[in-house]
Amino acid sequence: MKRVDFDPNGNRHPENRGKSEFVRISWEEALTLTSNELKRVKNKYGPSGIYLSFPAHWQHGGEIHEDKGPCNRLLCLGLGGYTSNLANADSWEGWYYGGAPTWGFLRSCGIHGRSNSLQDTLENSKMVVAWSSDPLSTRVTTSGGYDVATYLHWVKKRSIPFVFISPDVNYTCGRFADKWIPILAGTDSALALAIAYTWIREGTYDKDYVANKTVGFDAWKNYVIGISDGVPKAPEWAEPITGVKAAVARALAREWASKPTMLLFHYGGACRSPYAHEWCRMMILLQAMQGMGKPGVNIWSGTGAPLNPNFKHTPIGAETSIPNLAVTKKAKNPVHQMIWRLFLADAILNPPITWYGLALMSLRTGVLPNFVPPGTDWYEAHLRMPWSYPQPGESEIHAIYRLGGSQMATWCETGKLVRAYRSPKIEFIVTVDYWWSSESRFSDVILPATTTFERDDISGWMTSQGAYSIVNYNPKCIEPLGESKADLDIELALADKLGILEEYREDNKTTDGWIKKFWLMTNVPKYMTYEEWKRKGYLVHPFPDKFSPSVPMFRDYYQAEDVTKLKGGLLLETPSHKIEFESQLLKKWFPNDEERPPVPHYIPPPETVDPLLSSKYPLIMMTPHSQYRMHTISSEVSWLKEIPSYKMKGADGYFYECLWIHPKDAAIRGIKNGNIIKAWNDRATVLFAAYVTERIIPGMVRACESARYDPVDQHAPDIVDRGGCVALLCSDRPTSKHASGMSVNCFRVQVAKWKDQ
Amino acid sequence: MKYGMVIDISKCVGCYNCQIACKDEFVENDWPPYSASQPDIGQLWMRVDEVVRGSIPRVKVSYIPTPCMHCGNAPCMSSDNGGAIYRRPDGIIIADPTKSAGQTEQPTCCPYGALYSNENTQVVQKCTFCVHLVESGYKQPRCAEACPVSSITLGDLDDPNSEVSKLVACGDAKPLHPEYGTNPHVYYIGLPKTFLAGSVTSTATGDYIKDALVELADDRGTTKSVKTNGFGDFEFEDLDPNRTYKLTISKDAMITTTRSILLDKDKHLGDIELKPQTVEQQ
Repeated sequence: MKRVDFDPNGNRHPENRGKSEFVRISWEEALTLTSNELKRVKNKYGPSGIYLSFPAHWQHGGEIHEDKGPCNRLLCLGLGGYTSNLANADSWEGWYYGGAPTWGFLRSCGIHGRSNSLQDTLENSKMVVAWSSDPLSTRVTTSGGYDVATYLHWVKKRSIPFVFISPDVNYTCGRFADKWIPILAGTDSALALAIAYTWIREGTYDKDYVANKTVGFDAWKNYVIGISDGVPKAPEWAEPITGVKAAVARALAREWASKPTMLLFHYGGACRSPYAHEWCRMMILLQAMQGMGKPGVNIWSGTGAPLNPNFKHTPIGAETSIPNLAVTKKAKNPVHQMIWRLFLADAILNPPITWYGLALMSLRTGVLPNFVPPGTDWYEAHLRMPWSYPQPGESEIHAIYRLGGSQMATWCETGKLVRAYRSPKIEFIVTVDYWWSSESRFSDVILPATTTFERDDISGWMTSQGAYSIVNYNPKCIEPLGESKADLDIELALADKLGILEEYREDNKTTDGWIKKFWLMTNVPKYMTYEEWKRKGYLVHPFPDKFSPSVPMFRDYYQAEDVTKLKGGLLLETPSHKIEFESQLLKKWFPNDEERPPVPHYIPPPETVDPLLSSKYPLIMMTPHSQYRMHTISSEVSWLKEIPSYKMKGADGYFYECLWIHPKDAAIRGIKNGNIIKAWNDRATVLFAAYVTERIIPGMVRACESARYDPVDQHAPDIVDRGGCVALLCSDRPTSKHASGMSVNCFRVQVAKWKDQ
Repeated sequence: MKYGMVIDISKCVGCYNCQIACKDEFVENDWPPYSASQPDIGQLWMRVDEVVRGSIPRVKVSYIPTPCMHCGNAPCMSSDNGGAIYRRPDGIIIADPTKSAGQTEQPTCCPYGALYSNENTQVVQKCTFCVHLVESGYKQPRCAEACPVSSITLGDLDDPNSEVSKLVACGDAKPLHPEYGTNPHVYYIGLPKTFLAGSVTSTATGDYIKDALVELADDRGTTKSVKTNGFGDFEFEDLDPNRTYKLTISKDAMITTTRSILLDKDKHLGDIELKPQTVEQQ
């Protein structure tokens, strides 16, 4: 389809992207137009003038057709490469920027390998503290199922009490909490300091462990008890900051120190707030003070299930990392330029941009991006070195090749993206998508792709960290609907237009040829023939006959005489090879950074303590992951919209996203449960349905991230969205000065009834 | 033969898989002679009701999956409806997709809200216990199959060896809203009742008191007791609502008695101070 007022030979009307209608054109016309535009931009600006945009989770099910694979191949072989995008450490921001300098584990985003903490909890823990954690939401929608519900029941059955710390009664808290400690979002590290203070004052921490297996404790202690800054971080100090009574903080500290306590989180929550790395560092340090690795004392993330040693990381699957078509040998991208994708709008509107972090892509592929000088130290490349766009000698971007996705709903302050997509600097936008998604309407040409149900593919998925890893054959269920084409077929057709068809497909004349080629790279051939696998449809990697669960992470560390002599993955990657209360890397690289000092501090979220904003916008907003969709995936499924804490139907028949608001805050605004309300700040106005509930503390509101962008009026100068797209309201201020993660919590809004009712 | 269902609320985590699996089975699918296709939205034959109880800082969330109760004394069958709604020999109640056409008044008679009138076809529609599947050999309906924690079970209530009979025999399984008097064939384990909770603090230290004895007496003279945990918290779950209760809290030489509390809803009493003498408290 082509935007009606896009004329490649005349006026392109970029200002009308997202506003104008589309008209059906033939595949022939669409492919010719697209290939001509890509060639034109390449010839004018060089290959770096083309930007390839793809989402974090295409959820497209299949390695052959999976998002960037076929397209990467086309752009590399046919056009000499492209400017790529770099993913933020999405949903793990605080751990990546805080965990890695504290205990290493950079390759797993600053969190340890986390195997088998479930068994450790069941056998040894006497309390579980779920801090800013909602596994029923975060485990389930992303990671393969409700196995976590069963695990939580097992913990419950053993009468191990669950303590939840969060501003909201999230889905897991509402079902499993023995104790809920409500806390103002963004102040978690103040509570952590109060706990550390209590332990230090009362001498209830593991002094041997701290002395032998950690470094920098004195600097931490001096900050906690107030020697370094004159402020003792007592529970009484934390109370007015956090809203947690000093006596509650003290009781928590005493309970925690008196018995083996497991700290449970998955991702999201407080690790996505301003200065979130400080909280993440403190979570590690608190458990270090209690002897991390001691039976029952650890950080339990993910499901904590034991690993299946028969499972080898096959070349299959985004979850299981490594190749798909994106990294087949011949298709290497020679362009030494990338864009930190959270800053895409600024890269277009206000270049140059600078950022810190290389994050997910290089972690997954194990290869640093090509603009990083060879031989660069991993930790330096990820944490110390600033990166920028545009690179010397490379062009700014002038064409965007979009592979679906809905960044408008998943990033921050995305009203900027609307302006960026309408910039005349962007001469051409083509989108391959199988949804009529709101962001795809910001294109000039849309190429309709098939869903996973309409083409053959191979895919891998696993749950529980490889405990049940499966390699699937995904034959199509139906023929492609309408005139849609499979991703690979679209790219093949474009390759034909660019005159590189033979080079593109090599000896793989058919999709099945590609599937077999990929299948050979898995370890399925060890167990069955290709035909058997296709007939059966899948292989579940079998557990070995003599299976013994792996030792929980840090058990060796806890038992070691000298932790600096540990071998392989057991040796911490910090300079001291110990857990660092005072980070040696940060001390060396950023000694004067007040937003991420060598010893972690409590730093109030900027909007929380801004007096002007506080009077204008009295409510603090949190935007966690949803239990009922995976980012934007499934957000338009009508049956899910009938879940009352998730969506509610307005008088106009539209299903509005729920905004949780406390009865007191609702009453003073005349808001009743189910009313359509608006939440707004200087950045945008977004409509919601009011879910009036005791599940959120007064002074805060909650709506889940990634509801879709759906403006009431495309043509209006100010954005009023009814899709519940909180990303429009959220500040795009990064985690901190040297940590370019997104922070999706702790921004301010005001809420009122929507006028039209 | 009498089909019935047991739903264990204590296991349910609110995933709504049952509600959605039900829609997957019946939306756009006709299963004659038992059911006509359900509209995309608006009808929930297996409706999950969310129940939020209590107030900050003690808030609990439960979910009550609510299908047709296939009642023994079904209001929907009480009027002469010309066979539009009938009971099969196996106990399953069917709203006939042909004969029920035009009976738009009918759905209001169900106190559980389990009957629907199709806006387009005017037929009466509801849960069939997936009888079309059960007849073809399925052991369980779609809602039960989709439940990740096996909280839904269908079976023969007349067979003492069936899973459902055993669950009912445990004594914890109760009908939802027995006061409706319809003799439901769906039973629930762990239906939320009413809780009374609070925290005990010391006037001397300001800290919460562990292992204080909390004794509860109701207006019938029944007593219960618990000890406070490390957070000074106590909780009595499963109390009868709309009775009055009195608490006596003691630790060592300290004792406090509360005034009578009318438990009109789930309550957290906040912090209760424990002083060295008997004091009346709110």
